[in-house]
Amino acid sequence: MTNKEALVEEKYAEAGTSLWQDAWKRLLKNRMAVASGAFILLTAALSLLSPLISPYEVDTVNYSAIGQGPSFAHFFGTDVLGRDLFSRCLFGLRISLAIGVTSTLVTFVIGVVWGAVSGYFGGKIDSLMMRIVDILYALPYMFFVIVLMTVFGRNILLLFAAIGAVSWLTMARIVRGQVMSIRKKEFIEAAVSCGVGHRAIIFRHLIPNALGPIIVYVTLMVPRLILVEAFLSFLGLGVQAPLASLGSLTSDGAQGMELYPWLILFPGGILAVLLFALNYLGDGLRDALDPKMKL
Amino acid sequence: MTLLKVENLHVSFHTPDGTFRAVNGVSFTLQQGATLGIVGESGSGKSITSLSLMQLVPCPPGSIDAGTALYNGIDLLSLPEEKIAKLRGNDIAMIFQDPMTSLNPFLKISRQLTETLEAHQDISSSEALQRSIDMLELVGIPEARKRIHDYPHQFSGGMRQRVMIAMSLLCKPKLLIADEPTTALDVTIQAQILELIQKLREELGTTVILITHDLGVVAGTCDHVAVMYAGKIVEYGKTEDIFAHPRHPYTKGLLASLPRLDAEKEQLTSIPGQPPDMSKPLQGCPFAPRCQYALEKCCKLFPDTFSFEEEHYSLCWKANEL
Repeated sequence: MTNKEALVEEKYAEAGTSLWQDAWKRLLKNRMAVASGAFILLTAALSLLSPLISPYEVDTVNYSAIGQGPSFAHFFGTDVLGRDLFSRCLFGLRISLAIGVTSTLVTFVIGVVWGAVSGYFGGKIDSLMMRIVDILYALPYMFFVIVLMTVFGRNILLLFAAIGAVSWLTMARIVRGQVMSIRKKEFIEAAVSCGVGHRAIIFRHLIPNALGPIIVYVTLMVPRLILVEAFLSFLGLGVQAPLASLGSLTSDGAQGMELYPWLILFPGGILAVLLFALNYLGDGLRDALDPKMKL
Repeated sequence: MTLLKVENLHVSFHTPDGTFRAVNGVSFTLQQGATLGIVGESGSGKSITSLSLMQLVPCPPGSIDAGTALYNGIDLLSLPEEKIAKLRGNDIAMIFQDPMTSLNPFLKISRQLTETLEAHQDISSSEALQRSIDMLELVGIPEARKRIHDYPHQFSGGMRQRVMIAMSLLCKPKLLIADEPTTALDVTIQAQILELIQKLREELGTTVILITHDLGVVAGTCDHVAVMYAGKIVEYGKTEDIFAHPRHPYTKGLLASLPRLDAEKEQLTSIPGQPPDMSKPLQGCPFAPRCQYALEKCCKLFPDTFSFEEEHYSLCWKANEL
């Protein structure tokens, strides 16, 4: 390779930072977002490994250790039935994260497809699809979830689906708005003029270009859905004993908080810090994906 | 052989501010292998005419109200969506004005090129890639084999326009519509791109419609010129006839406003006034308010068609005297 070619090579390599690489660089500069991301990864790993690292079974009742405070035998203490709170928190974290992620996925798939189709075709199709969204918006959605839960029974899979099914509305609106603005761009017109079909235009051209705001919304969606689940569990409609989520643990802990304050402090604290970290990561991503922000 | 015959094309846009009649009865014929230049100022209906040939006018708010466009005997304007989609890119292709925005920033060039081939031809992905590389080489992109895997932002403006040209010519279309392909480029690149279009036209036998507001571009590349004003072709003819004897005051004005190297004048001549409001019904000649030769008659009666040399015609009451 001659000297000149090497120079050319170098130039291309420099020019080769894609939008995503830029965003990644910006994200790494945001210390709080990086710390939050690390914390989330850590909790996710802990919760995934919980069967291996929990010192006790989730539902093992030990009458000789009821309502004990934090100690070396029980890091977070035990509850009124003598169950180890640390193990239960790990398990609860797992359920809460699973609910957050799964319902967000449901939200993502329905919302993105619905919004993209509506925004791309426009006209009557758009009006019809968006009126359906408006009608669903008008339903008090907590009430909707409660009805779903009572009609179909308290199945944890159903809980995922029910929460996801009512929270895709905002996602659909965001995606529709994005798609409507991108659809007017020249490269879409160029693709149409090349004979590219509707499906390829929506999934290959429109959605990837709208992905920035969608990703941000998704990261902000996870904590919101975890909170919804916690609220449902608090009402007694969510995860049922002996299973546990961070929400149901907090709810249980609230009942005896004067005598056993650690029962609410630990799960509640974990929930709070997790939500904080997810929100911070979402904020960081929003800034990072905004191309107007400087490096 | 006639490739395209457009007759009495009317396109309008329905907006809350009224109905804008963007194209008002455009007719022209295009012989196979010829190059037609459509010139006119912004808003004269040049782009809408060409977009409607591919049914790419956004409907609503736009609508094609009347007219036919016979392409090999098929009326492009009344073709159902599935059928016109098959023609787009395959028989009729388009190059857009701004290469900076005409490529999807999230997709590699390779994907955007093969996508066009996949839409029309049943070929394997490796063959599609190979043909895309060949086409990039043909339009003069150095190291095409390597550069095809780059993203659009890694190309310069001129290179991107070459990619756009490659994309539009991949399926060897019979008709290529170039909608101001050089407006967004600087003068040297402009010359290269025009030369390239010219060269490919000769090699592939493509018929070209070149839309531009630059008469200099037309002079160098087109066989025929159609001058559009207010949604109508006001003068049409062979390029040399139009340049030698413009028979419409608007064409005269356009020619006079070209910068000349041999003239000593420092200020460029311009045509006074503004194009008419297309939402109001036209009475008489639309150019009359700006025309230095206007008669009383011009404001009341729309001019007849006056024919001159072979194929040369003008829509002006004073065409004979100009």
